[in-house]
Amino acid sequence: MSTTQRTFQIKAGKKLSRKDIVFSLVPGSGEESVYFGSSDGSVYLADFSAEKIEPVALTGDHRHTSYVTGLARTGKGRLVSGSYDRRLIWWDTETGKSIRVVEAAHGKWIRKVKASPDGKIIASVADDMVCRIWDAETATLLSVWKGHEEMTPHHYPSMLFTCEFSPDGAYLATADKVGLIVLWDVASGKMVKTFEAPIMYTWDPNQRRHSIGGVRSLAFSPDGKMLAVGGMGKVGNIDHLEGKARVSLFHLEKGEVLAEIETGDIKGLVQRLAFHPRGEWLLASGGDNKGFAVLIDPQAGKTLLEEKNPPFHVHDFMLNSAANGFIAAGHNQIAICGIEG
Amino acid sequence: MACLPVSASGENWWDHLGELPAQDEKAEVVIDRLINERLAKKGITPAAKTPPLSGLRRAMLDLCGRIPTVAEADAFLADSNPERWERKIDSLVASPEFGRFLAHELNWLLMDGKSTDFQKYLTAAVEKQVSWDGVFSAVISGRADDGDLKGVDFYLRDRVRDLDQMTNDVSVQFFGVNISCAQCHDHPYVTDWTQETYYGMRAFFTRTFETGGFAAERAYGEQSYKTTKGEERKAAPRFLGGELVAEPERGEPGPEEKKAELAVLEELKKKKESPPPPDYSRRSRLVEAALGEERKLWLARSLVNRTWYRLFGHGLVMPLDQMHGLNEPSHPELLQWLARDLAGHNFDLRRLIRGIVLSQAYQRDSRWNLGERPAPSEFAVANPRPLTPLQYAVALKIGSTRTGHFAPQLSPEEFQKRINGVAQSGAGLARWFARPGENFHVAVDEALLFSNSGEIKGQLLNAGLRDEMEKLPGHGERIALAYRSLLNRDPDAEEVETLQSYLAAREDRPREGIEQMLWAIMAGAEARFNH
Amino acid sequence: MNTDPYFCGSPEHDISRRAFLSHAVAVGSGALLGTTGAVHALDEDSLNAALRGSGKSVILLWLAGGASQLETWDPKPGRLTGGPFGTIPTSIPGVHISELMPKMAKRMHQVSVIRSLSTGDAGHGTGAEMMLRGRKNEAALHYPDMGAILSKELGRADSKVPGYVSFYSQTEGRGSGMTSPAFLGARFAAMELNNGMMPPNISRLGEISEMDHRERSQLRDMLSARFAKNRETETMRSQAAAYARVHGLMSSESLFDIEQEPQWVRDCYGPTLFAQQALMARRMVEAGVPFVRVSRAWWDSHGQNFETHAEMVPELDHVMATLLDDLDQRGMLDSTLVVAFGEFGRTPGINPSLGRDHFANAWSAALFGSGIAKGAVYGKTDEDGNNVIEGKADAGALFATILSAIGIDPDKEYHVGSRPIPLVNPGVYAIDDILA
Repeated sequence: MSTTQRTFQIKAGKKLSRKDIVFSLVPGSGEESVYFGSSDGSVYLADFSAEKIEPVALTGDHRHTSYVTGLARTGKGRLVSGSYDRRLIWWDTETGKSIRVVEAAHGKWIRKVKASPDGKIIASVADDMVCRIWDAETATLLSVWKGHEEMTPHHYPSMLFTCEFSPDGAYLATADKVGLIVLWDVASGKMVKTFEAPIMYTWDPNQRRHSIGGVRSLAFSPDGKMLAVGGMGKVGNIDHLEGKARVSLFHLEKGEVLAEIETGDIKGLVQRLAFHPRGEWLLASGGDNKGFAVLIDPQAGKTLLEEKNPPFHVHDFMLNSAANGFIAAGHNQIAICGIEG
Repeated sequence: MACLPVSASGENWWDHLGELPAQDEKAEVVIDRLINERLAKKGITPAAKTPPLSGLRRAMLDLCGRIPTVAEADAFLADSNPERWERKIDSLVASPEFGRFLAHELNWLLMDGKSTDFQKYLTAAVEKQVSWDGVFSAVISGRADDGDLKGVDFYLRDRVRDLDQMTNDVSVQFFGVNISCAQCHDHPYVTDWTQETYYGMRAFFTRTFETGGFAAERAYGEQSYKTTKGEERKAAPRFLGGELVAEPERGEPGPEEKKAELAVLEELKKKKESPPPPDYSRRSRLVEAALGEERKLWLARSLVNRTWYRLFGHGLVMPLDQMHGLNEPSHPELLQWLARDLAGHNFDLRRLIRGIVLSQAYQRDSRWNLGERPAPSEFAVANPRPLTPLQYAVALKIGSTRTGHFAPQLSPEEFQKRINGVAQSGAGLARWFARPGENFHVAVDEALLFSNSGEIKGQLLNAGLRDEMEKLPGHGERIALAYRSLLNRDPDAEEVETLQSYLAAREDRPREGIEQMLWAIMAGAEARFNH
Repeated sequence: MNTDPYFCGSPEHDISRRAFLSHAVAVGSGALLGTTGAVHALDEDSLNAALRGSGKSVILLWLAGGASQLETWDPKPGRLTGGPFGTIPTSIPGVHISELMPKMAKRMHQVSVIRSLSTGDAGHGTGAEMMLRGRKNEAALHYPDMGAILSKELGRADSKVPGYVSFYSQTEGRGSGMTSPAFLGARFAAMELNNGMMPPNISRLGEISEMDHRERSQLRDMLSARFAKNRETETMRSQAAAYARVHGLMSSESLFDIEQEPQWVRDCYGPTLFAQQALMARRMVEAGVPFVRVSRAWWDSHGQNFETHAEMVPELDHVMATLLDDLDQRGMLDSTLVVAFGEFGRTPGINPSLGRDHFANAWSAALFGSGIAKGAVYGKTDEDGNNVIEGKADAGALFATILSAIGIDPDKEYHVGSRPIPLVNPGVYAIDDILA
């Protein structure tokens, strides 16, 4: 049966309620074990297979003093966290302790930290509008990539929200507030090309003179041919996240738009995107005052399912290995969700 | 904020009135007798009668919201019937223009001029000659189911989120008493006017609530308040400090009953229907209490005073919202007689206005040449009043239209149609002006608008009157036409001389000269005031 | 890398500023006026008289929609309510403010902050009405707003400049932040500059020559004066007064022309609309306008509070700091009061949209200049910012403080009919701790 004829369902299952806001999530040691980064400045390890989930904060000489928005596993028993406090901290997953800190890794808030597929390098993006490339082992700064304007065309500080490696590790994409996506050649550090999703900027010049959108999420298709870009569409009232959740699909090679996908009545930012391991669908999740998950048929450029689940604003999620479920983390909650169909 | 002393029983001015004139006398006769008696006592000789066209302009502005056309003015002058004034007033009062303008003015009184369905209700009510107590009753009931009442509910709907405002607006607008200061404290001097007075009035509205945009009412709910000492008290409904309204005991419903009530409301909300009135309605009790034999004089006095203010620029009682027992009117017997006459004649506003306009007091000149001008409360001389935005805009529009557009040979229907068309185009211009209240000042914005706006040029100067003037053979004719059309009078010799030399200095640009003269007249004091 | 969005660091500008400053100090205030360009078109004698008259002006930076106290003056670092921003030390030892305001942090010794506003109304319309009037309108008595009162108290009857100018360029909240002279009358109404910076109808239409424009006015005045003879009223006089001000205001046309400011001054303020309007406010105050409101809408960050404040606070920081320096360098800080607040603050609680909602229970305002203590921080909120624990101040207290700071007795009374109306409600007092 082709993807478009299947009926999907997303259901939230086991959950963990929290007082804090969870911004980042990466795999822990087992299938249902996760590290997550919190608004309280800590990185936690939690096992969702346990009867009673009791997250444990990682400890050590170094800690964050603001929201932990980026987490990356490097594969060699290392975990790297990045925060709005501008620090990057390296953790030993064996001992659960911090081992190294890079103070002032960026000049402003660090928004995302990603590891290359081979685990050798780490990319961090921040509101200083640069992408920094680090040696995953030694924390040595290898390169600084500048391709995004510091100021918006309306003279306000811009924001560099997210980055993502291509599956083969050859490319890194970075995306900012005004809707500019830059594709970098990882080996040379050169800019390869740019893509634009200006509608996601949400700048309102008349009523409120202000914006709240930006490109918040990126995903490469498993075959490396397609780049998905997530954010929010046009907003009437930018006091609220009330624009329709939105995903643009670009042809990586040709640079052209393959599809613009806007949800029916689901509103808010697409905070995270992930393709099915064989590219059967694309999962987008995020939220406004509540959460949502949207399944997209990337070939048809259409949504397969628009679900107001998980019930909380999702900031990050990770697919399980069978791609029949995911763990979502966000506002006051982490939950296991099943994808049926 | 300081409060004026307010009603205590036995101290009210209406408890000490002299003998009132007989009930069957004519209003205009009573007005003139009582006004002139007081003038005589003070040794003031009132101003002479204003010239006929000045009187016509004044009455048409007051009654229809516009100035007369040149043809109307000519016809009035040509009428040799000694009763032409009375005949003219009667025809004006009976005209559809009168009804429309009255509804417009009442909408300002009750809704601050907001354009809602309420204005449509008022227009229909005036047209159908609904009495003022009928309007009051319909407004307070807030039931709009019947076709005639469509829109009347907007009065309460507009205020349902703020019951203090509802309480105070009803008290001020219908009864001329502002009891809002008693909201926070008892009056320091007058023991009868207390927090209980305020909350007694508010108790009539305390069961009113908003649902689905409607102002609905429950059959239960009590009004309580905190005294200045912090004591919690219950207030029973009573009309402006009057006797308690007796009512059946009604406790709070149980949770089940409330749930059922909520379900019904939700259902109605979905259907966008208004909730039914309760089996026992406190607002209906207010209507009964306010329209009782003695009490209805409050309603009548306030309406008389407001109408008087509108036609004279000064009330028999000032300020308009302080019509309580200790604030004596300038002419107490006159106010009481007019109120009684109004209440005794089905609260007929047309009749009241007609009576006032027929009086000599209304028809006096606005000039005072004999030393110090008497206080406005003497009504010895007419008080020049700034025009309302609509009056000013429509007057300028009509005045700047080609006189032939309103030719005397038009059928009445066609004439009316044309007047309406011009008046409607004036509504847009009216938005630029401020509504005058007490102590009104003309804003510099208005002067700048006249001085430099393309709107004024495009709508008023570059208009039919100018074209007509251009075709006239001489400056004298042009000046005369401008004055007759815009100011409803002939220019005097000095004005003619001044304007002739102004136009003569612009022989090289005659059109500009004419436009500038028209501008100077339109932006001038004479066109801006009802005098 | 220069992350400062505003171009003020150039050595060239430094020279200009230094030269400007030394010139001003050496030559005195006459030179200050001469450099603005604003006043050349005006009658300098009457302008100077205007300045000598009351000498005081107020600029209100109206933060419409409600800026967050937690992301500005009263941060709560390390608390879940505190949000992600850090704090920075200021020029007052021991006092920290949000890291989004580094420029004001350096100037805190010139500023007073109230951290204990508890104003009780978290509605945009009703809150704005109250904060602009120091109290709520009563059903039957509407109060004049701050600008109308100050225009009356500080302005001159025959002034050739407006008494009250209000900028509000965004449309959101404009209706709820309405100015009103109420019973003071239209003479004290705001000149509303909502579209562009040039007031409407201030320029002569091209079709009429300047001479005809003047003679037409004279004709109007003459005809009107004849009419008014023996029947003049107060309202009729106000009409004559309004027309008499027309040519004075028209001659101040250049006052509204920002091009008259030197480029380096405009660069210092920066390119945003709020910044340019703040510069216009300084320009107007310098020319004798008693009250200018510069509105920055719209802070209502129900969603993405932190992105909103990351976007808008640096602008506020820069504009306030530049205005402070500019007024200081021109010797105008003792005669000009600058206040910054909106209708309320924002909730310590962070909602699922990472927003903060309306909050009037514990929030902040900042003031500097005329009559204001230098470096005072008044009042205190609890560790999460939920409640005021010290020095609770309401809208009336803030209003009375502003009046006191520019030398107006808050107990002064107006009269509406026979009713005396004090400028603030009885029992309301200024906050002495932040008065100089």
